[in-house]
Amino acid sequence: MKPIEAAQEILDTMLGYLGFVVRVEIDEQSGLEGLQVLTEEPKPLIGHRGERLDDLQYLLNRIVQARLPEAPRIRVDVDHYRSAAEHRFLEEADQVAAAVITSGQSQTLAPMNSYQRRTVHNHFANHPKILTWSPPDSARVKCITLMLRKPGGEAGGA
Amino acid sequence: MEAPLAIQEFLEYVVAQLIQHPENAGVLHRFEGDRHEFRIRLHPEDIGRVIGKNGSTISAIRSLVTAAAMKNHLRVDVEIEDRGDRR
Repeated sequence: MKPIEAAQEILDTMLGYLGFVVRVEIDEQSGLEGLQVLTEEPKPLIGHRGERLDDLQYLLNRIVQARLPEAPRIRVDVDHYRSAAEHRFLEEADQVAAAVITSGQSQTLAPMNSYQRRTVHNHFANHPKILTWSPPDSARVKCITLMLRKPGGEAGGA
Repeated sequence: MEAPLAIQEFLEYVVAQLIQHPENAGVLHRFEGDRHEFRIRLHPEDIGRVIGKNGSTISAIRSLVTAAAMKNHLRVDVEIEDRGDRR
């Protein structure tokens, strides 16, 4: 059995015990090893700002790794919450980037989790005018700053 | 299936996936007042596996149990028991 199939079975079993009627599908659209949970009652599984969904994904990965140490990290989504949220925060980041380009002044985005920060960095990686910057891992609050890219790739602006 | 029993089975299932001494593990359920208490008994070597780094694994377990409890209008506690000590 492939790790993603084992994860699908484990997730279905866990949610069944918790009393949720779900259909767990292998999500092939994201390009990652992912599972999509389809349910009539997504809110309790997503939680406030996706925190419970993060817990679900974390616990599933702990179990899969305990069984199959070589398994890749598996992304879990509930009713396409993550993809919709990703679309929303990239739209917001694009609006901030447009303001940075207009004003020339750097701006800091709202705090994000590590997955979101990575997504934003990747989103702007090849942008001709915008450079992204994050504080070191040890920083307590990790926000991304958008700044103007000078010719040659160096940071500019304030 | 009755919700508290289902939560107990969820805990038994999840814990069994994480530990290496299942013969020394169990989940006890007690209903007191208006709260359902689930106490996870583990071999000492398995306690860290269930608590996880910075408590992240037990925190995720509690979060999911809370989702089931809220759905069924239950009040629940999940504790790890270690030779009479509770965590």
